[in-house]
Amino acid sequence: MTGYIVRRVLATLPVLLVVALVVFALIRFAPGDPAAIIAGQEATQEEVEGIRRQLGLDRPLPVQLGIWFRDILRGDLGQSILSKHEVSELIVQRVVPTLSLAVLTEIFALAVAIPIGVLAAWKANSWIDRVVMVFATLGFSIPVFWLGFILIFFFAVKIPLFPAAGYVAPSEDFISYLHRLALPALATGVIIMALIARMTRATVLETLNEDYVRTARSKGLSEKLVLIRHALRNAALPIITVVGLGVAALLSGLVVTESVFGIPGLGRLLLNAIVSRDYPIIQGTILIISVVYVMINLLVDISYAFFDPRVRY
Amino acid sequence: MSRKSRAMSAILVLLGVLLLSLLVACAGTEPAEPQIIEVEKEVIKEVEVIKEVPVETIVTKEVIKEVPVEKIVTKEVIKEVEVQVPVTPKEVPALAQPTPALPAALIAEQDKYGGSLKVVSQASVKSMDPAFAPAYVTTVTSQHVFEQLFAWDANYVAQPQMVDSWKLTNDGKTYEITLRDGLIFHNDNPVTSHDAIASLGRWWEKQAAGKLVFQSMAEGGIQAVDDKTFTMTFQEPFGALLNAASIPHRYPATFTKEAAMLTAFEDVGEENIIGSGPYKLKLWEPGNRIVLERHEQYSPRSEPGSFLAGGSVPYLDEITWVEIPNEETKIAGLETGEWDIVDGAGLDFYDQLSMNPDIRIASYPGHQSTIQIHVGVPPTDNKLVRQAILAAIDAEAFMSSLGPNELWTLCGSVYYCNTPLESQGGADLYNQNNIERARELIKEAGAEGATIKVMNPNDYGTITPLGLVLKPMLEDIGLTVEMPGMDWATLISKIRGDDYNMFTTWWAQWAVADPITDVVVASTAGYAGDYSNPRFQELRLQYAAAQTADERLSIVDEIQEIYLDEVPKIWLGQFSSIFPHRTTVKNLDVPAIPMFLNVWMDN
Repeated sequence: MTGYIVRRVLATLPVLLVVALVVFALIRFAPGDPAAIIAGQEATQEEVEGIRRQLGLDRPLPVQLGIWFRDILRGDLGQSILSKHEVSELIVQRVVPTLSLAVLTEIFALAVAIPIGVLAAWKANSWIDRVVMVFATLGFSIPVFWLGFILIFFFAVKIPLFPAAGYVAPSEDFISYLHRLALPALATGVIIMALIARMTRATVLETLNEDYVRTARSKGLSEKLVLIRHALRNAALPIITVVGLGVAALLSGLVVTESVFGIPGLGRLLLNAIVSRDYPIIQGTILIISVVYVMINLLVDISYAFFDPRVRY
Repeated sequence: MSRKSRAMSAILVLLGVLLLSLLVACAGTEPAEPQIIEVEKEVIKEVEVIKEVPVETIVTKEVIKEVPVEKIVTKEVIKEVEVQVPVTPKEVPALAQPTPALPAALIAEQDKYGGSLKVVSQASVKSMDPAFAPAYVTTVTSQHVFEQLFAWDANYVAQPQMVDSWKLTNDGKTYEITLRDGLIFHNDNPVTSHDAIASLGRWWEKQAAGKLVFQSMAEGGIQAVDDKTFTMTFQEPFGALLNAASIPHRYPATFTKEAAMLTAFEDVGEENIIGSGPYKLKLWEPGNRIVLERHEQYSPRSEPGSFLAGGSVPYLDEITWVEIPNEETKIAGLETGEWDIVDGAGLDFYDQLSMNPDIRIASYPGHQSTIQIHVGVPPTDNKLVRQAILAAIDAEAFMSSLGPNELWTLCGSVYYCNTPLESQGGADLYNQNNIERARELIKEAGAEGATIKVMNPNDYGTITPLGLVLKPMLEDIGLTVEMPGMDWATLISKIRGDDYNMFTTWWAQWAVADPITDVVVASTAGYAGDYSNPRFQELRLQYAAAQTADERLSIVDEIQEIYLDEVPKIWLGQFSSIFPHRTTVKNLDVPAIPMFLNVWMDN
């Protein structure tokens, strides 16, 4: 197992190198010049050139790439070219809100999706199954921003049960922290929930037709035990994969939810940086998200061995 | 334990948790007891107020100098005399129990102190360095932190702010400027003339008005006389110093000397956001929020506050700008009281907000919708084509695309209507709406069917609609139009190139207020559109040396006539920014940008 983990970690290095190169190239060749954006519309060309020189953007691209790689190897992601804030500090500040939202979203999604997925599989082809599947399809089809606005309108403006938007750090006020994340977690969780519910139904339905399930039933085990101990446990691997990938996708994909609910997360950091072409923040954030993505994939793979004793690395 | 007992236990535990939560929640909502800390804070303010009791104060008026340049400044020197009964902070009764001896006005004044104001920022604040970044949000936030030597009042007239007195020699060439007492940086160091001189140097490194000041000065023309006084000597009589130095945008902020020595082509960094203004930086989480807190050592001027001039009283304990990117969420949060003000709300929300009794809407009408034309690229290098486009303009169609009728006006004056520089020069060429004349001019120019490339951003609420009106209008007069989709950032990156004929934008009176700050008039070359006119350069210098308001207006008339003949840009009209806020926010008026000086919360 240890050898497997070491091999997998080493294998991530070329992946990250390619990611770094692609990100660097893509944002440099995309239209938009950070110096011109900083200078504003009233600046002359001379002023724009002055800013570009000062920011080191007048250097040849290979030199800029070399400097970035050198800094990364030193553990330095650089500074925002606009505000001079350290990119690593900005990312650390933003990880907590995003991770909190991702975890809460997953908790909500799992809490709803697993029971209704199992129920749908157990009552396959009944009206319950159809209702659950219609609900799941709807959940997957509703745009997050639309659902977000609807939730804000009803549960913040019309019936003021939740704040309309904003974020409070858990260290400042834990109750308020949870209170403020409830609506965004619900808005995002509906999609993840739909995905997991469908996956759960499909995999549990498959295992319910297996011989060992028939054996368990013939032994006289209750239907509850058959479902939970035999069917669900054996259906866990694909569900874990979806959950793991869901967390990874949420880390980078919460930008819409973060924008609608005003949560200062990684997605918004990246979006703001793209709008102002703040190269170091774009590069640093995408690199870190890639690292997290790779690591979560690794964790998912390792967890297979835990859930399925037949899996050995 | 039986099943029933287990269930009962579980229910009891749940009830216990609920009860505990209820208790905690109720404890949080109970009215707060009076706190000693608050009392102490108010005491300090009381001492300041008592010093201003008219009976105890000798006021002498002294005209320093009546100079025909700029405006006549009547300087009031107010000598503060100690109150006869010495009052120490500990002896002053607590705010909650004012003594009957205190006049009602003073009690009311004390009540204004305290509270936190939460503002939704117009955009993400990337920099708080006004000499480095020209962003609107940089100006708005930093103006609470930094001060400038002179500042606009609500009538856009320059008034001394950090300056106690200033004199101009009889030859009109040398200004002697003395800083007022009590100016303290947020790092507790006093502001000196050396800080002011270094800061002016950072300002004229980039800003158009600053550059003009620098270029007009004699060599070595700025000298410190002592820690509070310095002189500025010009090659020729120079009457525009106060106007140039008082512009609120890209303004000459006074930094500490150490920070001011850094180049303006780079941000000074958060550690150098140290001004002497009424509020100081407490916390900055980039992309999330900026928190300013009261600068306790700030000593406001004695004159009544008027926009950025006069006494700027920091009534609020804190001002927080939060960044909420989504327009609908901004409005929902305002309606629910999550925050107090939305800076620059979408104009589409005006009607909805107008009907809400808890919300008041302040507005500022000084934004000019503009079409900027490239004069170096065919077919707009042909003056006849530019004149044809000007002839076709239906200003009302453009302006009404931006929002409700209450929020825009037609205005034919290049330096805005209802300002000292409102001009009638060439007025009949504005808003001609004459398609026939435009077609004739296009024909005369031999440009029928010529392709025009328009840059119009698709992500800017107060610009995007203009392109949608412009495109069919240009096609109507016989031109072929290309309007590729792009965001504002891409547009800004392209305006200094040659790959377009025109772009849509807006200017604001707080940024381009006169020929000195007008980048088209100021540029010899290098500005977007590549327009350069030697006559503009002459007129700009004449404006800088002008002695009276009439002289200045007559120069502006000529500039406007040239604009309308040469057509390097077309102004369409003025629209308002709106600043909806909860009615608990008091004394908020927005003459140009939203400043929260002299604003208090009705708690």
